Formats: sequence, C-alpha cells, structure tokens
Amino acid sequence: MSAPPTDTNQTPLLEMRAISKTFPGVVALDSMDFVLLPGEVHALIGENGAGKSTMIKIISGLYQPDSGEMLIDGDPVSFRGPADSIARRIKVVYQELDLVPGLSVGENVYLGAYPKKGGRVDWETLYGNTRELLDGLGLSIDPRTPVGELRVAEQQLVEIARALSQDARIVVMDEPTSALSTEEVDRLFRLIERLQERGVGVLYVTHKLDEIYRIADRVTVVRDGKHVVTTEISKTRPHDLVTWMVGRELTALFPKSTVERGPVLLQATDVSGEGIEHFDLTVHSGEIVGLFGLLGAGINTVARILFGASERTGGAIVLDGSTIKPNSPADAMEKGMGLLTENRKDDGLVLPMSVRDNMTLASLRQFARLSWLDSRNESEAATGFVERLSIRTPSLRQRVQFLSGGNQQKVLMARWLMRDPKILILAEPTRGIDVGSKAEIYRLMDEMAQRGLGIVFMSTEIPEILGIADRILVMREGRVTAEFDRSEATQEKLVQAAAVDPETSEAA
Amino acid sequence: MASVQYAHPAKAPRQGWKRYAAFWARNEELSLLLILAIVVGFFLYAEPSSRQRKVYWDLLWEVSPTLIAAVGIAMLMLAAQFDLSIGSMLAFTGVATVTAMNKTDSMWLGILVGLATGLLIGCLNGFLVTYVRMQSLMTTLGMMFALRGLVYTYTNKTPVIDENQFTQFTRLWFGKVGPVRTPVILAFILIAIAWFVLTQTEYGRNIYAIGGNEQAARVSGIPVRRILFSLFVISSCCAAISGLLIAAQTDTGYFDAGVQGFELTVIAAVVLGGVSMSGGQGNILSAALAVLILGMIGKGMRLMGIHTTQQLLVIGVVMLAAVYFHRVRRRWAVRLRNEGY
Ligand SMILES: Nc1ncnc2c1ncn2[C@@H]1O[C@H](COP(=O)(O)OP(=O)(O)OP(=O)(O)O)[C@@H](O)[C@H]1O
Ligand SMILES: [Mg+2]
Repeated sequence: MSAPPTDTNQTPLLEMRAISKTFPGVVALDSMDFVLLPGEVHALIGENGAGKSTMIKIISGLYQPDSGEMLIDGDPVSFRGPADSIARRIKVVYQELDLVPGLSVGENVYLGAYPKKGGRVDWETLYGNTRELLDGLGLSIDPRTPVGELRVAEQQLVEIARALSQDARIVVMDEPTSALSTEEVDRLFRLIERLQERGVGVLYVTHKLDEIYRIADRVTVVRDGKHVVTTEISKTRPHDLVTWMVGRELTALFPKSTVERGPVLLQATDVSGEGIEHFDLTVHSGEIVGLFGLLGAGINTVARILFGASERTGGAIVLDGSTIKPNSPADAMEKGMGLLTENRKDDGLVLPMSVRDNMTLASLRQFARLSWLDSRNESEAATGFVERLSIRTPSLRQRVQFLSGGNQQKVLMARWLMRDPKILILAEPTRGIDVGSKAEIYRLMDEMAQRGLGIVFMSTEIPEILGIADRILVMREGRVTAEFDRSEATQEKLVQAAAVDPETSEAA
Repeated sequence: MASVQYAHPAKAPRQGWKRYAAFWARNEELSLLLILAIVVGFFLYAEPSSRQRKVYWDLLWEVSPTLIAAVGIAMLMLAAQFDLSIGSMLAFTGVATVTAMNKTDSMWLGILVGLATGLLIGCLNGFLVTYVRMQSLMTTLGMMFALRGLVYTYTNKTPVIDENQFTQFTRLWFGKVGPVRTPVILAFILIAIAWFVLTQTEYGRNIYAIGGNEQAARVSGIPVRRILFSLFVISSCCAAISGLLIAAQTDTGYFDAGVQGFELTVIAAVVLGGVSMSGGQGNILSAALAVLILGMIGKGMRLMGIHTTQQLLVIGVVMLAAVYFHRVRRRWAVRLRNEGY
C-alpha cells in the first residue's frame, strides 16, 4: 500500500536470530529468523501450528526462547515477562481474547495503565479517550458496557483498541480480523496505515492472503517452526505463498461436487428468539445452505436457537419428521443435529481436557457400554480424526489448551463429525484455519453432503460461502432479506442484501 | 514425555535433576505421597509412640468419615460446585437416625432414615442449585445453618441416646473384617467406586467436562443439570454415611457433630489433593491422600501430647505451607514443561 521501506540498512526495530522454542513433544520454533523494520507492515503466515503465535509470545515476553537471540533497536534483550516487553513499547493483540469480561470496555482498554488525576482514576479521560479510539474503529458501542456483553467481533475490536491506546513502537497482531466484518477490516487497515506513517512496525499474522496483499509490505513464511522465506509482497503471487506455507502444491480450494438434492431434512418455520423474527429455513438432504450476514445480523444467534442453545420464543423446528423441543441441545442432538459454535473458548473447548476427550465429548454414548467407556475405541476414533484433519498435536493426551488456535478449531470440528449427525450447523468453521486445512474442511463438508447430510453453513466470508453453498440466505437485522441459488449468487448481490441500509451505506 | 520429534541442534544439554523435578511436579499423587512420607517420617523420628503399626490402622479408622465425605465433595468440586452443608449433615443424620431407632425400636429403620436424610437434603440442595439456579456456595451455606438450627431446636442441645443400645449399630463403627475396621473398608470401597466412575465412565467424563467448561458441556448435549443434581445427592449421601458412622461411635445422635469446621477440613483436603477450585481438574486418589496427610498430622501431634489449641495452630500453618508447596509445584510443572521437560 504505502511505500515500502526501501532503506534496508536502517536499524531493525526487532530482530530475531535463530530463535528456538520446544514444548514437550513439539518443536514450535526451530532456529527462526525474523526482521521487522520501522514503518513496515510485515505479514507472518504459515499453517496451523507452524509456530506463529509462539513467536509472538516470545516477542511479548510470555515465553522465553530456549536458544537464539532477540534484538530491539539493535540491543540484545531478554524478556522475563510481558512487563519487560511493554517497557520496550511493544503492544500485542493476542489470537485468543484476553479481556476481563466483567470490566467495562474503557477499563479493559486502559487495564493496568489507568489515566490518573490526583491519585484517583480519571474516569472522564478514560472514557473520553476510549470513545475516540472506538470512533476511530467505527465502533458505536458505549465505553461503559461490560466487555462480557459484547459479541466476539466487538471484543476483538476492543482488544485492538487497547493495543492502539498506548504509544507503541511495535504492534503485533495475531489474527486480528478473524471475527471482523469487511467494513471493520477496512477501518482497521486505515488505522494500521496511520501507525505505519508514524514509523511503527506492525507484525501481522493472518490466514487471509487477500489481506496481506492489501496492507503488507513484506511477508515471512514459516513452516514447522522454520523460516522459509521473507520477501516483498509485490514480488510474490498468492500461489507461491500457499506453496511455501504448505510445502506442496495445493489443488482446488473448493471441491464442490453436484449432489442430488434429497428430501427435506430440516424445516424451521417462523422461528423467533432474541433479535430474531420470523425465521424460516428449509434444508434438504445433501444440501449445503449458506447463511450470510454482517455482524449483528443475527446469524450466530440463529445457529444457537436452532440447536436449542439460545432461547427460542416461538416457531417450530422439525428434523427428519420429528419436532425438536426448544432450548434443549440434548434433544436436538438426540434427533440428529450438531452445532459447531462460533466462539470456541466460551462454549466449545473444555480447556483442561485432553484432545481425545474433547473430541469424544459429544458422542460418549457411542463408546460406552452401560456407561463404561471403552477408551481404546475412543482413542482409535480420535486418532482417525487427528489424521483426517491433520491435527497437529504431540499426542491424544495433550491438553487441548496447548494446541494452536487452528488445531483447536479442528478438534471441535472432529467432535461433531464423530457424531455422524443428519444436520450439521457450522458457525464460522474455518475461522483461524490455514488454507490447506480450509480446503480440507470444505472437502469434508462436500463429502458429508454427498453422504446425504444437510449442512447449514454460517460465515461472514463471502468467497467461501459462494464457493461451497448450494443456496445462500442473506440475513439482516434478524431477518432473512434475500435468497440466492448457487448459480445466481455473486459477491455484489450478497453485500447489497446484507447491508444495513442500502440507500445510505457508504460504498467503500 | 521428554522425547522430541525433531533433531534439535541448538539445544542446551538436559540436566538430570530437572527431569526428576519435572516428573515429580507433574504427578500429583507422587508429590502427595512424598509429603505423606515426610510427615510420617517426621513423627517416626520425633515421637517413639508412633512407631507401632496400630497407630496407622487407627489413623485410617479415624479419618474414614472424612474420607467418605471427601469422596462426595471431590466429585462435586470436579464439577465446580460446593457443598458446605456436610458438617451439619453429620449432626442431622446422627440425630435423625437415633431418634428414628428410638421411635421405631428398629435399628434398620433408623439407618434407613439416616440414609434418607442424605437423599432428602441432597435433592433439596440439588434442586435449589440446578433448577432454581441459586449459587451453590450460598445455598449450601444457608443449608448448613438451617440444618444446625433444626438439630439444636429439636434436641435442645442434648445428645439423643440410643435407648435400645443396639450393639449391632455400634458395629458399624467398631466391627472388623479381618484386621480392618468396617468404616475403613467402607471408605476404600467408596473411593474405589468413585475412582472407577470418574475415570472409566461416561458419567465421570461428563463431570470433568462440566467442571472444565459448563457451556461447552451443555452445547455438547450433556445433561448438565441432571448430573449436577445427582452430584449434590451423592455428596449429601456420603456425608450421611459419615454421620451414621459417627453416631455409631458413641451410639448417640450428637447435636454438635461436625461443628468444628468439618466441611472446611474436607474441602481443604480435597483442594490440597489437587482438585481445582474452579473445577475440571484433579483426581480422587490425590484427594484421599491429602485427607490422610491432614489426618496424620493431627494424629501425630496428639501422640506427642500437643495441646488441642496448639494443634489448630500447627494444622493451620501446615496447611498454608502445603498450599504454598502446591503452587510452587504447579509453577514448576509449567515452567519445566515450557523448557521442554
Ligand atoms: N504451551 C504450549 N505447550 C505445548 N505445546 C504448545 C504450547 N504452545 C504451542 N504449542 C505447540 O507449538 C506449536 C506451534 O503453535 P503456535 O500456537 O505457535 O501455532 P500457530 O502458528 O500460531 O498456529 P495457528 O495458525 O493455528 O494459530 C503447535 O504444535 C502447538 O501445539
Ligand atoms: Mg496462532
């Protein structure tokens, strides 16, 4: 975008030399090299578990490297904890949100660095400044709202606001846009450009290649903890990036086969619930129905209501002939429904449990004889999915807490695939997942559809919706505003139908 | 666990002691066994009268009511819930049992009533927490006061003596199978069952899941409420069994049974045993070991003739030390695993 730093002789803001980091059974970083220059946006890409987040945690002082050297402004440093890193004016937006849900937005933004006046917290300044930051991000939320009441995407924006609130020289963002709408991404990018103009170095981790082409100056690819290549973005094609990342040529991203549409499997009529009115949905056997909407359109609420995880106040849901009780996930599952929830930390993963136990959690009945678990069987099934989804973990007994973000998501995917449901609702199933695994997940979806499953696929990413859905419903403010067949759907049509007010919405 | 999949040139040589440290730090049971050994070793050294086998049989015997109650509490706490009413349960069950025996002249009916109190209060706690959605800490705290008050009111603070003097009943406490006292056997059976349920069954797995992330458990179709409800019943029933044993000790329903912080002792032991206060982590064997450790400390001091008031002080200090040790151990476990051990 803006002029890439040409003077490569300038002192790097940050330099990593032969940094290594090992966890039990895993080499997360293997002699990694990295250089961040002032005023550049440097993208860091790699497969799930390649070591990106580990590298960031070393920069932020959360982890100490086993060996290697790190320099800030040419001085060798060794951070004993995040405080040391913050003292060198490094700000990090972590992949997994770490906000305090009970505190307000403003308090979170200034956590640990409250503006003070005469020894007391200066609330006016705190909330005033937060307001400005939020405005910059185009967020209209009240700075006094408790963070716990915000949606995931909004929380992510708050996290970003927090990183921008202080005067940083290095800003590190680990997949900051994974839950953002296109508009929010645009705003974020404008902010990043502003940082860049101030000479701040931005390290940007993402799985979305299009973003890299929009804002990055240079890109570094990691694979298996090793530095593969660093190059200027203008000199590479996306195809090369993918090949570097995966280490092989990737064939079709969207393996879409034509499946004969079977009988109706799921019929939701006039469903209502929190913010949702008159929602109708029909899913046939072998069909993938895409549900698209901007943030706040209610698609994730719909997912939860269908499954019974959020309150349904009206309407009927019939799955394969039998009526599903409202507000009972157990009943929905009994009748053959599965839901991959949007927020894996909140209602997906059981962090202290092992990879295997997390996978089998929803299908324990299958492994139990009179409640006695056959753990050999369990392990076999889990191993199967670890291989099929290429989940990177040292063992099945590894706590899921220690897996990389994308691999955690795959574990949850496995949890539902293991149940062999009739209807599977997938809310943002590819969030935080690398290209290779995305293709794998699309392939799985396609395969499931071929076997007669009905899939409801919710996404805020248009390309994947267009690529994989047979039929697309667009939602806006809790209602379905349009429906397109695969053949007639285009990016423009979806955006238009989803936009809050077609008249006044600014065409960015 | 220390095996690394890839060759790693730039790696400092692994120090031997760290490997051992990592091994101990990671194994809850082992570290607790180590503490137990230290405690026992200390008393063996300091107090000659502790050098008899009988002391240890007696120890097991004395702690069996605590062990039994700890089984219920550990299961409940794994699911991130509390039950503070178990101390009052001891008195409630004892008084109810002996009263019923006196009224009906039947020992069995009395015992049945005693067990029924466990069921009743467990259901009540469970109902309030899971269906009325009251918070478990406060609910069972309220129950703790209410039950104690009920017992005081009913007994007028006089012990209820077994008028029939059922020797059968006292056998519950004094009986032996081979060299082992009945309550000890009972305790070990319950621990074994709990171990089996927690590690080998669907129900047990669900308990860990609920404790680890209740929302996730719910969305995975686990009947969260039903399981939580059942756990309150289990915890109360375990306490009722302890109450029966304690009543059998003196053949009396004693109004002040468990009044000296029984529930807190049990919770403390369970937490020392590595069961996380926030649920989802820990195991029953460690919890049982921790009960033994606390019991041993108390017993050893009694053997040494240390005054009860000072005993309290020592127990308190030891507990603080143990919690500290625990923290350090956890930190080491994390630190060493991050260092790759
Ligand atoms: N604390 C930890 N303990 C054990 N293993 C860990 C720990 N943190 C990371 N790992 C492992 O190190 C590897 C690198 O993980 P990392 O989180 O850096 O990947 P990533 O590139 O950020 O992946 P993603 O795109 O999925 O976020 C993974 O195999 C992960 O399982
Ligand atoms: Mg990551």
